[in-house]
Order: sequence, then structure tokens, then C-alpha cells
Amino acid sequence: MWVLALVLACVFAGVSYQLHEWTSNASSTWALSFLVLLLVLVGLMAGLRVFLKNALRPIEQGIETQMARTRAIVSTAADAIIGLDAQGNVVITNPATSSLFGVPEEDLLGFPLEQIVPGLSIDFIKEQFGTEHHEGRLRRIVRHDFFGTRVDGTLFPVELSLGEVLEDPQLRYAFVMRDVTDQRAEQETTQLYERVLASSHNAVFVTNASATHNMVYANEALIALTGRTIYQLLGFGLEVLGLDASSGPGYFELQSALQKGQNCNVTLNLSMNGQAVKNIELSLSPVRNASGALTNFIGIVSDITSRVFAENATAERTAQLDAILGLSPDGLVLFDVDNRLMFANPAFQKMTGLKWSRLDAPMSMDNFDYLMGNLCDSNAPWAALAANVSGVVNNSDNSTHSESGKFHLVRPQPRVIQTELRRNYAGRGETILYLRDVTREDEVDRMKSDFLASAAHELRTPMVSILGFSELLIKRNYSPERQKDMLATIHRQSGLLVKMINELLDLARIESRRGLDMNIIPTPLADLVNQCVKGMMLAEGERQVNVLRLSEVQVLADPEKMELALKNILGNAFKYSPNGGHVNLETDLLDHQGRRYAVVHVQDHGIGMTPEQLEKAFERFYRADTSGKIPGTGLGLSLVKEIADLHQGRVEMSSEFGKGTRVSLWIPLSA
Amino acid sequence: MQHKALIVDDQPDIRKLIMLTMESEDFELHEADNGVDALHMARNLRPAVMLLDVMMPGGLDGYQVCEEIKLDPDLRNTMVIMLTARGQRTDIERGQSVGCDAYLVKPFSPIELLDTVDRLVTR
Repeated sequence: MWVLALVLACVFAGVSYQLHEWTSNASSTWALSFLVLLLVLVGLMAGLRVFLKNALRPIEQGIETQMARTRAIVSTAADAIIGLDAQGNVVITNPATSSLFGVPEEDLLGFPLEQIVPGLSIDFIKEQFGTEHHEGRLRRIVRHDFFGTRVDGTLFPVELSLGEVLEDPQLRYAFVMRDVTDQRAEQETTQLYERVLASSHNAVFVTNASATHNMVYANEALIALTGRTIYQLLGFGLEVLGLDASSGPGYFELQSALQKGQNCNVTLNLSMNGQAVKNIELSLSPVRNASGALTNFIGIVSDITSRVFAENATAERTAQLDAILGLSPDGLVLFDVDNRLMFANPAFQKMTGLKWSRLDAPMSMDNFDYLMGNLCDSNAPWAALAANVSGVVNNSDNSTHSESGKFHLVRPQPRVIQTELRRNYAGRGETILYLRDVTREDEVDRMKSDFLASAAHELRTPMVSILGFSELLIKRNYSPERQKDMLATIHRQSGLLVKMINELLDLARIESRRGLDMNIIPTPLADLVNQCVKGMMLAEGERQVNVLRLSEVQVLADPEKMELALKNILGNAFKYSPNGGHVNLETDLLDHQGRRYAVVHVQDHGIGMTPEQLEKAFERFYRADTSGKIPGTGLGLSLVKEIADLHQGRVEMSSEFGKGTRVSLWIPLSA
Repeated sequence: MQHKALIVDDQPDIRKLIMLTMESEDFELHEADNGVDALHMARNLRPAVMLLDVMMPGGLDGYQVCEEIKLDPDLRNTMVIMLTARGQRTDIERGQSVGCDAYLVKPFSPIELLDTVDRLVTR
């Protein structure tokens, strides 16, 4: 400016001087020079104006372009952009503001911001920025705790950026507002998932994509499972979980999956130092990004220790039951609630010859009844289970219901079977059939009642004579000869009766005492034999015992009992050779299993026995000869056997039907 | 009138006892020691009364003999008294089923036996 003024002054001075030279008139000089000056000034002004205009055009254009751009951006922005004046009223707004709040521009301009964002009053705004002023033109604050109001009154969360404009007279505050409803929702969902993970019973971890697969996340359950702290887990690989080759074959599968980026599902043994070994189930899933590259692995770990324990316990119990059922000599058959055959143990299969395999299709109870019926005898036929079971169903009082029965198997071998049928209401409504081979007991029972009948008959027979003849003697008169004859009969029959009673009592006593009152002493064998023969009271003229050889040894025996045994054997020899023949006795000295024995052999030439009879000869109450011709209780040989056993000896028999029998009694030698 | 009596028992002492018991003018006594002979003799003698032991060895037991006797029209009038050491109800029932007229359990009183015989024979 000053330069221009100086230049003008010089030009004026110069022009004035020049003009002064050309004219003589001073006033016209000044007027002329003033005019010239004016002209120059105008010229300059015009020139300057044109110059400025040209110079300013690009700047103007530039400002125009800027403004247009800004307007474009502001109009396009998805966020609400609002400008407020110093009083807090809206002076600038953009289309997004209208769409966000649902309020048209004309209803926004000039109104306070509080209208659409409750709580955002001018006082509040001023408070935000405080009284101090920063250097610079703009200050900015971001808030996340405000809610905008839509036209219908609904509130929505907004992210608020507030700016204070310091040098603009009209615009004092600038706001950018973002509807964060979706983000908020996403946040809440994420928080929810995080809480789910944190509170899950399953242990969860997430690894990164590094070669060592370090953990980047571990939930509370994993911390609890491993006994580590979060700091001991994050940033470490899976080895920190205590997994290595000793964890089981699943470990290698896990390693392979980690390397290949695949899924896997394995069970492993987890042994953390100091803690008991746990069984875990680990599920690994790879996570890939959009381009298919592996970013993470997600691992879910379940503690299956109690499950494995229960499984093992069950397997053990099953094995035990299988062993028991396999060993049981009694048959067991199981039907399910629909009456289909589920199981038949080996004993049953052996008993009936019916094969059953777990692989077979289940058989119906009717079929089973049919098969069993075929095996049975018409005397004691198979009672159909199906009928029993349907009857049982109606019984609602008991938790189980049992039915017993007895039937006779004809095939594969003749057997008497006792059954018990039970419906298990407490369980799953299965039906259990229990079969017990009672053939032996049945036979023993039969033999016992046969014995009782036989014993009754045997004991009563002498009594007929004793009672009868004595009564006649009392009630009638007879001649002395007759009387003597009758008395002799009474006497004889009494003797027989006594013998019989003694036999029975001996056996009963030996049975019950079981050798408690055995008096085993070294006894000369010869004495035993001689005493025995004498005790048999064989009359002169009757057959005698033919003693062929008698060893001069001492045996370990209870004399009384051994005599009884020998007497029995000798008695049998005579009894069972009613048509005569020698009764021979001889002794031997034999070794058996390191012990020395004196063996007494008694041979008769009587009726003998068939092999089948011989087999049963020592059985209690067994009588080979059932003709009734030969008296006996069937107890004699069992008595002999009992005595032999109690002496640590034994008794053997060989026989040929119709030819005779040989009985050998083994008595331990005295040392 | 003398009645014919047939005594059947495998035990000689028992036969002797019964013979001695029934020894009198009223009876003509015969004996047999097994069922087959007994049947044979019964058909020949047509006795008024038979004393029959139940348990006898050999071919026929007392029940079978009794049955045969009762089925034979010629022997319709023969009274059969069965003697046995078995006194169970089943035995008595079996005796009744074969038609015996009386059943005596051993050991019996000889006097009682005589009374039974008299009762049956005089019917």
C-alpha cells in the first residue's frame, strides 16, 4: 500500500513538474496534473480489477468445488451430521439426519437438538466442553451413552461425536451421530455367547493358526479341568494340557488333525501332575477364513471319567455275570417284555440240546413252548409259559411273580427238571425262566420213599410172627410141643428184627456222627476177620466162610466198625448166593499212591449183578434185587463204603451177572 | 359146613401163623407161596375165603391176583382178605380198586383176622 502511495506521489510530482514546464499557469497545471493523476488512477483501478478478477476466478472456482464436494459428502453420509448455533438450535442438517430420526429438514432447522436427542441440551453440551479453550479450531468428544428418539417415540442407541467450532459465528457445535442399534445388538449377542462359554461345563479352548497352535482363549471350565491358571494356558500349545503320547492312541490322531487342519474326535487320558488321571473326550474343529486359510482351532473337552468308570464297572459286572451264568449248572432263560427269547445260558443249552446264539433272531415264547414241549414226556408235560405269563401280567400287587413247575425231559436225556418262572416288574418287565436238574434229588426222594416202604415191610414182617404167635399163646391152649415150636419162631423172628434194627441204627449213627467217634488203633487183621466170622453165628452144617489166605499184619482200624463192615460184606455174600456155592475170603498186601494196604477179598458164586446194577450198588437204599425174595434195606453197602472212607481206605466191587460177586475192602496198614 | 380157605404168603412163618389161627373144624386150609400158584389153586378149589399177602416176589403180586379172582365169574363168591405191611391210604385204595373185601395191616392180631374171616364167610 505504502509503496503504491509513494509511487503515485512520485508520478504526481513528476507529472506536475512536467506539466509545469509545459504551461505557465499554475492552477491549470495543478488541475491538469490532477486530472492526469485521476486518469492514471482509474486506469490503474480498472487494470487492477481485471487483474484481480482473473486472479480470483480459480480461487472462486476452487471454493465452489470444495463446497460442492462437502455438500455431496454431507448429503451422502449415512450418519447424521448436524450443526448447532450457540443457543443449541439446529442450523445445518443432512438427509441422513432426517431419515435417521424420521423428521423432515424443515422441522429440524431452528429447533433445539434436544428434541431428537433427549438430554443433549445446550447446557449439557457446554458442560462437555468446559470453559477452557484449546488451541486449534475444533475439539471433539465421542459418547456412546445417548439415545435418539424416532418419530414414533422409540429410542435407539447412538454413537455421538461432538465438535466445538470456535471461529464460526453461525456454527458453534457440530455433531455426527450414528445409529448403533445393530452394533449394540451384536455386542449383546457376543456378550451372551461369551457368558455361555464361560459358564459351560464343557471346557472350551481356541487356538491360533501358528505352528505350535497356541491357545488364545480358554473358558473357566478348562481352567478348572486342567488345574492351571489362565496365564499358564494362554499363549501355550496343547502340551500344557498334559497331553502327550502316553495319553493314548487318540493323541496321534489329534496331532494329525492339527497338522492337516481337520476335525477330530478322540478320547484321551489326561494326567495333570498331582491330580488323578481323567478320561476326556476332545472335539477339535478347524476354523477357516473366507479364502479358506486356517485361522483357528476350536477345542471342546468333556470330562468323561465317570462315564468311563461306569462303563468299565458295567463291563466288569457283565463279565462277572457272564462267568456266573456260564458256570451255573442251572439253566437260565430270559425273555424280554414282548416275550421274545433274549438269552439262554450254556447250562440250558446243554440240558435241552437246544442251541442258542446271540446272533439269532429273537424267538417268540410260543415257539419256545413248542420246542420244549417236544422234548418232554406226556407223563409230566411242558406247561406252556405263554399261558403262565399272561396270567401273571394281571397280578399287579407284587413287583415280581413266581410260578414253579416240574416236568420230565425225554430228550436229549431223561431228566426231571424243576422250573421257576418269574416276571420282573421292577425291571423292564422281563420274564426269567430258571431250570434246575432235580433228577438226582427226585431219584433220591423216590429211593427214600421206596426205602421207607421197604423198611416198613422188612421191619413189620418179623413182627407178624412175634405178635401173632404170642397172641395165640395167650388166647389159646396148646400142647407143650406146639408151644415150644411157636416160642422158637418168636425167638427167631425177634433175632431177625434185632439184626435189621441194628443195621438201620448203625447206618444212621455213622451218618450223623461222621467219624467223630472213630477209634482207630493198630489191630491185627487176623483178629478182625476171625471176630467177624464168629459174629455171623453160622450154624454148624450151614455154609462156612472159606478163609483161603489171611495175612499176619496189623491194620489201622476201629475194630468195632471194621467188623461191622466185614460182616456186612460176608452177609451179602451168603445172602446173594441162595443156591449155594463157596464164600471165599482171602487177603492181599497192595500199594496205592504211596500207601500200603491190606485188602480183604470176599468172593461169592451167587446171583451177581449187571454192570448197571454194579454202578449203583453203593447208593443209599439201592437194591439190585427187587424181587423181594432176599431181605435187605439197601443200606448195607453204603454202610460199608462209609466205614471204608472213614478209615482212609476204600471198597471195590466186581461182579458178573449169574456168576457171582467179588468185594474188596482196602484197609490202611499200620506202620 | 367146612369152608375152604386159601392162605397165600411168601413167608413160611406167616403162613404157619395163619394156619394155626384158623385151625378148626370150620375150615379146610390150603396154602401157596406165590401168586401164580395161588391163582391156579384158587381156580381148582374155589375157596370161600382167600388170605392174600400183597408183596410177593415172582410173577404176580397180591393186587394182581385179587383182580384176577374178582374178574373170574367162577370165583365170584370167593372173599379176598388182603394182608400187607404197607398201610398207606394209597395202598388201601388200590386194594379197594381191585375189589378186595377186607384189608389187614401187618402185624395183625390173629384174633382180629379170625373175626374178619368169620364175618365175611357167614355173609
